[in-house]
Amino acid sequence: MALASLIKKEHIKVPMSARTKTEAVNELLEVLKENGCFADLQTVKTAVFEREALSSTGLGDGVAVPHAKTDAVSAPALAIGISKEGIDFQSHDGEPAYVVFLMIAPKSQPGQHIEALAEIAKMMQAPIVMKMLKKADTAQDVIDVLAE
Amino acid sequence: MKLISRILVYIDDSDTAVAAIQTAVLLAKKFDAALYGLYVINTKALSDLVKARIFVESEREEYARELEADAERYLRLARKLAAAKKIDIMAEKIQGTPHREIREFAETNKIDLLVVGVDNSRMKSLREEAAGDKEVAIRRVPCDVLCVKNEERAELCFDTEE
Repeated sequence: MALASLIKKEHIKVPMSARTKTEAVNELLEVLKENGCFADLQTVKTAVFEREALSSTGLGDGVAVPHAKTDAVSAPALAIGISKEGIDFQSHDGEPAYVVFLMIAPKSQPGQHIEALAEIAKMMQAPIVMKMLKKADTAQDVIDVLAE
Repeated sequence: MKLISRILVYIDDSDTAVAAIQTAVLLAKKFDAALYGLYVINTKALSDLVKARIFVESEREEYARELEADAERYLRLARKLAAAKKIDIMAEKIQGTPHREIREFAETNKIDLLVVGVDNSRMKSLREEAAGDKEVAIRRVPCDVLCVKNEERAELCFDTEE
């Protein structure tokens, strides 16, 4: 269960209203909670911000990949957010994030979690994909960019 | 010439991995074929994630330990399922890039059938950039490939096979 099976239209938020890292994480966690990915929002939130405390997941080039593993979820879940104004994710290049992938995974199945994140990392190396994602206006646009 | 004499089942922690093992065991018994099991600890992905700044070093180390334990757990399961059908399985774990290791193992051991568990939704067309290691392996191995999708059917066949 890696990236392709995790991309769901109802887990995509375009445009995001968040302007800060905290707001962005909360906004995407709400999307996952509303779609039944977990019940215990506080536990998941704590896990994500504990990971952020180690080092910002604002990766530069307009992308952020906040993530965490917690047994509050029983299966991996991915939310994708597109911001038009940009979000201060404390990225190393100082640039705001326009594309946010929020990944939550259970502590079991570490291989699937790693594979999904690695596939996101691989996608980030395709500038055209990231450029098109930033331009997406709807959830369907995001799906269309990711699908051939 | 036998149609199938050497089978490799790719083992990971996906939902369909057990179905793949069960199917491979039954095929090995049916065709009197040698059965190999391979779990690849994806150290390439771990390195890529650190390089991309998605992981910090402590996360890489933590996940590497978890993947080692996961590999051992799944290899034990593969041996147990094979033993239940009185089949020998040469199951091992190695480190590297899964699709490369699968291909190299298949070539080195003259595998003529690769069995992998796949999630139906993963087979939908996505950009090449998002292709996972199993999809790449399926495309690149020189042998035939059996994709096991139906977990319930695999379990039923395994449980009812005499």
